[in-house]
Amino acid sequence: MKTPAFCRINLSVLFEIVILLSYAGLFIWMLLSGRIQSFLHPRMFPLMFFAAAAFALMAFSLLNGLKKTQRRFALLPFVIFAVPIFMACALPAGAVSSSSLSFSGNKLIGLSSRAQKKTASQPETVSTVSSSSAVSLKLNQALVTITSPLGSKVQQILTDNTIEMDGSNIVLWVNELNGNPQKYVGKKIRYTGYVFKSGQGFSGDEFLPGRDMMWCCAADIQVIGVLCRYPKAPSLKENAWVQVSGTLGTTTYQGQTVPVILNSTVVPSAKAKEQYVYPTY
Amino acid sequence: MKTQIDIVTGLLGSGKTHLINRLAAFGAAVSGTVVLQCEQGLTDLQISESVIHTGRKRDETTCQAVKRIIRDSSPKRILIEHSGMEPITSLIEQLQTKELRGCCKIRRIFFLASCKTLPDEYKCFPELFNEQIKQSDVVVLTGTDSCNRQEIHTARAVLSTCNTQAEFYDAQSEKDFRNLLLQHGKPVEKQKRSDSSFWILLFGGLIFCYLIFEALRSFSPSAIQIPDLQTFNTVFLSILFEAFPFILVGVFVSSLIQILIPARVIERALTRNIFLGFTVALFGGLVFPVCDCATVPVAARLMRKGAPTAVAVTFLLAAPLVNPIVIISTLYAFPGYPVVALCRIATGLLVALLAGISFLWGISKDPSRILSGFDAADCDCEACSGAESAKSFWPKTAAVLRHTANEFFEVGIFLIIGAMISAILQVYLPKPVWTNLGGNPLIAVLAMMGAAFILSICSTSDAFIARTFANSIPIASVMAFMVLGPMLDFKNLMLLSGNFKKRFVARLVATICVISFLVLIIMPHLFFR
Repeated sequence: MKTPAFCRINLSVLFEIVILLSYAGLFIWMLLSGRIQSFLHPRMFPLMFFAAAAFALMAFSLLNGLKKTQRRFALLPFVIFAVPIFMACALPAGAVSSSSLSFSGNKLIGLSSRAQKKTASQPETVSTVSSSSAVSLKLNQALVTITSPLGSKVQQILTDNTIEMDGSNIVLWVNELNGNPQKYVGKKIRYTGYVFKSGQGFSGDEFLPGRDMMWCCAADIQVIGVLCRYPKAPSLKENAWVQVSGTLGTTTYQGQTVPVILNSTVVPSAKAKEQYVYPTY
Repeated sequence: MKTQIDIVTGLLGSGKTHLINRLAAFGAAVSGTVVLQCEQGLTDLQISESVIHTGRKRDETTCQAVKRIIRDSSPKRILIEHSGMEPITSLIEQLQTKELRGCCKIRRIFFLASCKTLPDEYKCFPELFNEQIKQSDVVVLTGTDSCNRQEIHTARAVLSTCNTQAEFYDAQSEKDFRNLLLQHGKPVEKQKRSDSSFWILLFGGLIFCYLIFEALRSFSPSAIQIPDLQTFNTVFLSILFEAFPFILVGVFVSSLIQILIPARVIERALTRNIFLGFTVALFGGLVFPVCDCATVPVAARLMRKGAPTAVAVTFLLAAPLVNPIVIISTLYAFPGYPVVALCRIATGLLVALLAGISFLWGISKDPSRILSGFDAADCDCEACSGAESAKSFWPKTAAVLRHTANEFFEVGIFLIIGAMISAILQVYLPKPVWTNLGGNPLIAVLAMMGAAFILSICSTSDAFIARTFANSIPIASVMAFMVLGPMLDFKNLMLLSGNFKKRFVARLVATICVISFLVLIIMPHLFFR
């Protein structure tokens, strides 16, 4: 009795192969179309290529198993694996809306950098909220010293008087300004950001023109920017994109001295080209 | 109407004939049952006259006998008494060829085992038993009235390790046996719809909904805006995609070790002297990067080979933390701040060492009081058993890749669920919870330890989830998540219960929790001021 060439296909193995190839295809599509930028930091992109290749290799290695006999088949695990693929295709990758994140109250890093600096005259009166954001800010500070020489730019600015912040230097500048607010009093500043104010405890005429900063993935996004004083702030719509220009001064926020933009002009602006800014590249 | 085939298999003396007697009697109201005996049992067949009894002809295979019976008498049901010493997979395959598929269908495979002798029999013929038990739908344990609780427990452990999905029955319990007959005894009148068709329908429904959704969206894109859902989607997928490469590397390396490297090297190093043992246990994970999923069976195997309990416990806890892939993923998750990785390793090693040392006392010398009596430490998946015979490069590579794929599907589920829970917590938990959490360090550490236990994410990628907590909880407290996660979580606990006795597991869990809490409220603050 001969076994015929056509054998029953093993469903489990078939689904495994389909899932693996789907993930490989999904990653390649997201990388080539640029959609991946909404999710991950650019330095992760090579790793995604590696993952896609690995999925494809694994799928090929399973091909032989299609002929195996099979008695039981459980579909539920494969449904679970398929869910992320569907979600990636079906739902548009919106920018992470900071107001909808539970953490947004503590995501502000533009302001509390002074918390960890202990001066002899000031006893450390760190409130609970600022200590947590201060500690997470410590990570940012360490990073800035390692990767960023703003050095020559600073000299230039101090001569020319205007700080132009954009997607490529906003992180460095904000950290520099937070670290030395007194140094830049009187200098002009201009940049584009979206209106961020709810739940931050700003006074009525203040808001933060912010950009979203991503550490390694969309889940860890923080808002970065410089506090701006603007009489018509209450009329500004949350999340609207604006260009802000003004003169730097200092003010107090949650017990610390922070830079603030005074005499500001706020005009509506187009959305910034880059969805996210990055502290590292 | 296809002939239904029930196969009853098991070793001599396991009670097959007895079961067949009962099965045949139960269904005797329906005529047209044939019993095909492939093995002459110890008990005599006692069936009614309406049931035909036959055996294999000379030089006839079981499959040929089945074909002959169907051709000659077109029975409604064939009960096959199959010899436990013959492999069963080829029989199943033969019965499922195109030729036979049209006229018969395998309905149930029963595996019988005698409680007293099963563990020893398994040790003698592991592949045979693995294969047969894996293919079975129903597993029946016989002779339990002459066994004590420990032997019953051991036998059940053997069976459930080979096959987690089969239904289990104890033949001595009359109630159990009656249930068995009710569920599986009667030949069904109609071909029942299989269970998986429900899921396929659900799946199809989801696809249908998705298509409708896409159609609506193309008509009026702005109408279908659900910002919170989009945020959740983005957060969830970003955590997942970021973790995938690291999990893949972790699973791949674990498979490499499983297939290519014998554990003898570690075993020898661990058993020589206690100080060397602790050192190897602490740093062995550097050279043998095993995912935390793999350390439990490895630790169990080490203990079985004679490693002191204390040393094995230290290895169990330390290996996932000094895993180079884990270290790299921590560096990636906290870029520019390598002290996070350093703190994680130092704290973790301290906890592992202290926990291990605590097991130098109060531990019985007799390993059977610690380990559940079954050697579950060898991976019995097809990739491994095939790989042993493969000697050359390509087959071994293929085996490693296959094993990687299998392991990926096993652990990937936990990653997806963990990422989903983490994303839900991020997006939907009210703000005050996180603010208050960040405030009190003791509560924060406890909360992070609890989160680490619930989110059973592989140690190669939980640094990314920790990163998302670090936005609002001080890094010193988030360290609790990163140190406890690889040591103890829901998934680990299940693995531990499968390999060790409950008392030992309870002591281990308590030790880990207490020691790690004490270390975690002190040590990270030395690194982060």
